[in-house]
Amino acid sequence: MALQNLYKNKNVAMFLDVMRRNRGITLLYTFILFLCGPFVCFMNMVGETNNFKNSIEYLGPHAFAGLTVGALVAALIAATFTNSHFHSRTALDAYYALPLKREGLFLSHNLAGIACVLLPLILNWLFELLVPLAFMSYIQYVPLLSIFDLFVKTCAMAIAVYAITAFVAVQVGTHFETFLFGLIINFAVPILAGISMILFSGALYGFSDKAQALVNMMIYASPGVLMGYILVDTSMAKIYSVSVFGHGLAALVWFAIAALLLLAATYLFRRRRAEISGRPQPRTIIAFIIKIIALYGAGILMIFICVSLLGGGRIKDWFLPSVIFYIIGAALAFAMVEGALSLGFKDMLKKWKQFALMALCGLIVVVCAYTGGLGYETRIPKADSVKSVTVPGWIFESQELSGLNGYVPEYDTKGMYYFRNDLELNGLESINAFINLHRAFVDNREPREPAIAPQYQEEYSISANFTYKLKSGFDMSRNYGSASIDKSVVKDLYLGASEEADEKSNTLYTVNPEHVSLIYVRDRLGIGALNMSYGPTAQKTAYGEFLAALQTDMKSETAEQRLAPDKGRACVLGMNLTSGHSAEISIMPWYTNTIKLLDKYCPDYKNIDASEYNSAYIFNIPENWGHFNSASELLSRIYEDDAAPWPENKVSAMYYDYYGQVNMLTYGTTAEYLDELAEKQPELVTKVTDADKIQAMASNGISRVYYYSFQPNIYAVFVEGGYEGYIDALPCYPIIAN
Amino acid sequence: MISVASFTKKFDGRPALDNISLNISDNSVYGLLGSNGSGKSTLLRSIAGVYTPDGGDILADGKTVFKNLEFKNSLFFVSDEPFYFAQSSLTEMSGFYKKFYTGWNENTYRRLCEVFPLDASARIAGFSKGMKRQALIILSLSCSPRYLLLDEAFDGLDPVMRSALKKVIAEKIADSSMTVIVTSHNVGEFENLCDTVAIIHKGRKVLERENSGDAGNIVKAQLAFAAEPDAGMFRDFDVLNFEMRGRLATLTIRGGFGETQARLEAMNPLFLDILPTTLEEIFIYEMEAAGYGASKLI
Repeated sequence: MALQNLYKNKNVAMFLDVMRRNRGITLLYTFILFLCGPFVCFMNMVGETNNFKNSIEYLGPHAFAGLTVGALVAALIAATFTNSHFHSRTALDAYYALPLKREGLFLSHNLAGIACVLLPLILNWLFELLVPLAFMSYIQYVPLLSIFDLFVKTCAMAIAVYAITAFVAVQVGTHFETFLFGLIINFAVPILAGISMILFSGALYGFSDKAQALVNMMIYASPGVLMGYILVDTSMAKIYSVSVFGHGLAALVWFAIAALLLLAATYLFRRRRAEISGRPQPRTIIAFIIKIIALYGAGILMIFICVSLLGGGRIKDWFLPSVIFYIIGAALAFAMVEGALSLGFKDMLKKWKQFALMALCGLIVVVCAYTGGLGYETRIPKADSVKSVTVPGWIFESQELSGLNGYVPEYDTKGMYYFRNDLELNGLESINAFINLHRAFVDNREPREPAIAPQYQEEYSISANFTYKLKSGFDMSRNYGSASIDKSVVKDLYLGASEEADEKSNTLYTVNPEHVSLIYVRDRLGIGALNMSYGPTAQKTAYGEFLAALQTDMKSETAEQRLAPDKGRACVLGMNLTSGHSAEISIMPWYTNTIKLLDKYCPDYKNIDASEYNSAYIFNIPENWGHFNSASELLSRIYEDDAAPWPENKVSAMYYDYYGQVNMLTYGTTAEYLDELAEKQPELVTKVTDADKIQAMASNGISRVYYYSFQPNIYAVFVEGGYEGYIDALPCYPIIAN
Repeated sequence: MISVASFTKKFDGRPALDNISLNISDNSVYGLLGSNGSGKSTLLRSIAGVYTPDGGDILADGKTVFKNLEFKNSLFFVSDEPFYFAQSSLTEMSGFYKKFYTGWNENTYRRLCEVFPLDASARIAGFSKGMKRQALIILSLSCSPRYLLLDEAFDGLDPVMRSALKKVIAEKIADSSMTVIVTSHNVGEFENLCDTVAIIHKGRKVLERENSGDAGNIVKAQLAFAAEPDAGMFRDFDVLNFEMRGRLATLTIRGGFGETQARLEAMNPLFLDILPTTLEEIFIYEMEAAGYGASKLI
């Protein structure tokens, strides 16, 4: 009993002694943390006091990101430092001869190391939180619970990083190995998953970077990456709510793993052979893992070099060269790592079996990727097994607010906007539409082309990225980048799913009248702002009427109407919101409720005045050229096709709007190119100067150009002065013929 | 008493100590001699519990020494490379050791600081090699260990300090029944210090004997003959060394003292004198017998 007490006391003494000896570096670390956290926060507060609106800006969880990152880095370094005595033969002679149990020696050191990481963190965290609260009276709201949540996770992740590094330290011989291997092992799984992700992206048709297993491995298999993810999540979360509490279970699991790792390290330390200290240890399991990562990474890198050397072609043509390059890369990596770990190449040839085994592990993955990923490419779920399909919001772009493309809006009770960039569809029609699209992609996979498709393809080119949420609880994601697909499939997709998508994602559906600061009207060409006359009606009331009418009309608009408008738009209705966002909505003839209001408040909207346009250019381009949004884009296509050389020093840039939005270009010399083209290739470009014809075109053109609209490939460019004024899709040939 | 029983320690599969057995009596100085890489330091580290065994055991008073905290509390290992914390002083190191060794004696510490003239408040990193060793010896003796392991104890110490150390060790043995196990390349250091000496080579014990002036089974003799003797006449002896100057022959022979003397006298020399054998000579001859002779190396 007396001996037990003695043993306990000595461990405490060692713990305190380690703390005492590390006080210098701990103070330095405390100061660095102060610079990373409280100092930056206070400077921001002092600098922005006059413009202060929301305390969250300064004292939200994201303000503690510097401390979080600092603690993680410190954990890695502290574990290396603390265990460095066990990598010195001289120190071990003293330590192992002390009347202390080895497990006590190890735990007292490493608990002290963890304390040295956490104590400065706690101090700085409290300092950053309490000082503003105590001295800055304007701090009104601080999400204490969220900040505490982040703090707890930071501590858990820092301990996990420390434990992993300490676990490595027990098995290696030098502190250089501890630091380097600790760093690599901390990120080993995300590194392997990331490398695999890159391989699959290049070799596997339809591979999605949302692949659940790989993404989970990348996020959750490393405390460092998980903490980074939590930080990003925190900064993007609804800071008024408590949604930052996500990943709590993962953090808890990592904390448990850290505890287990420390116990395992203690057990290993008890059995650790002192003679390994001070010498590199190329035979440990850690070194084995490092070699596997190096071989795999280098092999994949060589595959990329191989593919870039081949410069295109089909994936099946890449297979054999890729395998050869993989083996070369793996061999080079093995030689380098083995040379570094063993401090020479003397025994390298003797380890050819080890190399073969390691290279084979990676090679199996490579072969798997190049041969369809064990059915990955052809797997299509059945409709009754799918709960929902999640797609990016912009795939069904509609009347979006500017600056919000790709985001699905949400409003909280305080009128703040939050956005998520995916849209979940669970209607059976929507699900079937996506399964049909998926099947079309799968059917067209042979011959499989490289992931980077030629810029212009003979077929309709589409990018699609969607994730099935299966009833089994798993996700299944696919991503087809610029893949060729039959137009009818895309059309079916739009017809099948756009209504639900629009209902769920259209920003305007969720706008309240009090959010509207201004409504204005432009003519169908989108030019100028027309006078509004509200008469006795209050402006705000009229805005409310417009909003209600617009929402009613848009909700009743069918997918067919969107796809094949038989008339041009009536006018453009613009809307500015108090949030700073704005929208310009094409008012179609079937927007009857809105048009009634326009007739009432802005009857001039029907009068199209094209008199200021002095010329128009009509393009009669081949059908397979796809869709264009601007004259510049069209010209670029024409010149790239070598139909005509680029005029020197005239056009050096072009603007692609991928979402079908019309862009006003400001290239002052556009008309010159158009003139040149009309002269050289009259079969491609016709110049119209007759004012009546221009007026007719301006009055009857189909103005709303969507990416999925299937219009005749005829465009007109109206030129005002020397500038491109407007590009319009024309409804029919007779206008041109006349 | 420490018993090394069939102890084996391997590095990378190669035995550094190969089935070695020794008995170290209490209250004595036990000297370990050996060639470079013979396993002397390995044996000390093993006794100190730094190295784990690959075979056999080391027992102290019948109990295994590994993970034996009671034994470790009574032992201090002075490594060939003294350990101290970076930027620490002798005072700070004394603060460290006194927490872990229950036998720490402050009076001994103060007295030794006077014997070995070191600045206790100065950084040890600034000390010379010999001063660092003195510092560690001060610390080790202040812990009042029952067992003191000194690896290359006199390395770097000047003659005065060597003498002082020897005196202090002798004093401690007399006062507190301390047992000292010491290694050294300098065989001469052991002459008047060690009670028992063991020679190990390639991890094996070559010799273990009392250091009482008696050379054991090695006899060094000087003989004079009437006529110049023929070297062949000694072929029946186990001759370790043979020198001849005219009619005077000097021989080192392995064998029992009485028997060897009788056989030599039977050769009717004009003169026969049995000479004292130094420890160094014994070491050299034994090592030569073990295949480590200078004649083989050069």
